[in-house]
Amino acid sequence: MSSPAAATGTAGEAAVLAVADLRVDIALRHSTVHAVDGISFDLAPGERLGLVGESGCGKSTLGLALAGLLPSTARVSGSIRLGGKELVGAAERELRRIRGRDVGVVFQDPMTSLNPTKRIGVQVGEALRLHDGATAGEARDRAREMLELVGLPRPGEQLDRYPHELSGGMRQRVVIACALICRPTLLVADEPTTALDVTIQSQILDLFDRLRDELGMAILLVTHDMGVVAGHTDRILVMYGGREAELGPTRAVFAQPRHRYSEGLLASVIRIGAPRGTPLASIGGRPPDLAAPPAGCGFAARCAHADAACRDVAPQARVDVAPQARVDVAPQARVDVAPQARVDVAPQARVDVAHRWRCHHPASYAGDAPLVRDASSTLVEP
Amino acid sequence: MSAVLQGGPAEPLLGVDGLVVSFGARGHAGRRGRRSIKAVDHVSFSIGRSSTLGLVGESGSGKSTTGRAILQLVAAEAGTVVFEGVDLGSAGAEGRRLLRRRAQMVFQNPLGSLNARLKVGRSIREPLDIHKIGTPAARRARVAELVDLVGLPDDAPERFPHEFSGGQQQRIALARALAARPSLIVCDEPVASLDMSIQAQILELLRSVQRETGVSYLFIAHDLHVVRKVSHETAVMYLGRIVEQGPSHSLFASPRHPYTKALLSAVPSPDPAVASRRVMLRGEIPSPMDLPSGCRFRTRCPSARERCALEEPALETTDGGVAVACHFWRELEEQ
Repeated sequence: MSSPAAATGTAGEAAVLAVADLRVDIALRHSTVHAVDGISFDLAPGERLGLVGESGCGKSTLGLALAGLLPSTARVSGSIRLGGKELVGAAERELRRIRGRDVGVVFQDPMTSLNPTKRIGVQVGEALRLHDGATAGEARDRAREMLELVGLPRPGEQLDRYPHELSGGMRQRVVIACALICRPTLLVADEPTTALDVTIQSQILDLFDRLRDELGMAILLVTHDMGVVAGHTDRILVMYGGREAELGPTRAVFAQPRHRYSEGLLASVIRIGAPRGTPLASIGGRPPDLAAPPAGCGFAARCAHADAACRDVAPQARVDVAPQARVDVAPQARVDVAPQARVDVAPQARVDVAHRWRCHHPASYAGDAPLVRDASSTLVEP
Repeated sequence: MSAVLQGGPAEPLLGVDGLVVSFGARGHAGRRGRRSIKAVDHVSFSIGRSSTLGLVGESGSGKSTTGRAILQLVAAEAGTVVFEGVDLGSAGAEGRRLLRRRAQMVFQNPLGSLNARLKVGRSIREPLDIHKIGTPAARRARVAELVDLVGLPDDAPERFPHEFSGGQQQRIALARALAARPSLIVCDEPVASLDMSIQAQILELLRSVQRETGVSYLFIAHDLHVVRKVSHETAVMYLGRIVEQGPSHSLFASPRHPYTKALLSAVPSPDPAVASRRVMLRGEIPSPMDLPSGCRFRTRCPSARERCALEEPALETTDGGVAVACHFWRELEEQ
């Protein structure tokens, strides 16, 4: 089916992470939940991708899959290549080598991520001892450096303290230090600031940006808050009902959301400038039941623009390509030129500026975006 | 002495004056030799009928404790709370009865505040049963009316709380709070655990319920977007004190206290094109057991000076009806 070159799509050979047609099914007693249903994307080194959607859209499951932390009841298919290594179907021993070394994880609640009975220095240094065989002394030295890097005041003193002695914001810094001590190429952060105050949230988000600049790891930031992704990501993947709704550069998605769900999410963000009394846009209804996903567009039941086609036929992916975009299109791929509009895609163009979406009735759309031939890449229809 | 004073229409629904709540750091508050902390330190405000006061601040600012003290869920050490013209401090049991019937609370976690074993209808009806309001038939009718008011499906009373989503559970909690026709609902972070798109639904619901029933809200939240959306008046708390309060439109249009400014700019902007011109706050909220001298905010304030360490600023009324507790708000405004 898709050649490796096609699967890497956006970032080419240098991708830290290449996810292709990933599916995660979780078996329950009487049904199977299709939590992740055909997700594909790439991450370049140092790239920050925001994964956005409501509760139950599969975003956390996707994050867990990338970290190799899915429960044993989960059936995974497709491909997750992290630094060239295939994670899907990898043995537990192999996963154990990857977890904590190549990929670091930060969860929402720092208290449950930390062991309450171990001193902070030991916890932060633990991954280094396990993966790199560092001695206790080396691990402690590196832990102190790491605590300094994440902005913990008086790092030397903190090494011997316990998690309960720290505030929520400081604990989250410790968790970040744990996640980054082995210098992973990918950091998965699942709602890392949701449990924190706004003033601390902005400190932690700025910290992610600074660490990305200093350590160069790619970041997958999972959140339900469009405000968080706006200022701290390069691209956004909007998930709905386990599927990709829209994937594109953050600015493009904010400026011109194509999928009606993204449009609704953006409209429901409460803007500080809007006066009291301005009616709030909200998305009525509930996300679809992932044990019985709808045949058509997952959002059809809640969408004001839906018609019969939306309910019956899942929309194909289309791409908007920015005029200046350079897209690396494989030789066999050609742009499907709709009669009413030509899209100029230079042969050498790179697709990492492409804005991909799946919607039968996209917002503010002139009808000129080419269809994507292969869902696991951004190759356009031949 | 009768504690019941009949208030005229101009009298606020709730008047809080000089409220102080202390917790013993170890053992009971106020015992000799024990340290106690003032979680709420001389807080005063009032809420008119059919209006909303938003109380904002970080964790540890004392905002939730203020709400609980008004409902007598924690004991106040000093200060007066006058509710519907009754001084609750001196009215004793009579005041408590009034309070339990006319004031209600909605919490952050709706599932935690609903009995998982009771059908939703029974939970909503419970306040009517307890206060012996109406006949059984009238109570059933009232439940149906409430279910409709908060936008739940008609069959909701026959179902259990776990069958509903977080947003719908919060609708159930609100229906239950509204059952006995209260004049005041204390909402403590009612939307903090909900998704953005659902938050908007619940905030809209709170507003429409206010229009229809005339209920007042004390709306406690850490999220300024949310507070601005529903509040006629806003009070910003920091370490047990109100640092700025006034009509929401003037307070949000031109925040004067450096803390309010910082809080506002810390909220991530939903616009990636906006260059982040942010007032970053250093560090975290200090321990209430070890309060800074003078102004409590000075250890994190980007504009702190010597005077701030020596003298605690009092709330000073500015134009637009906003009061601010900062020595230098006028100078900061000119910059």
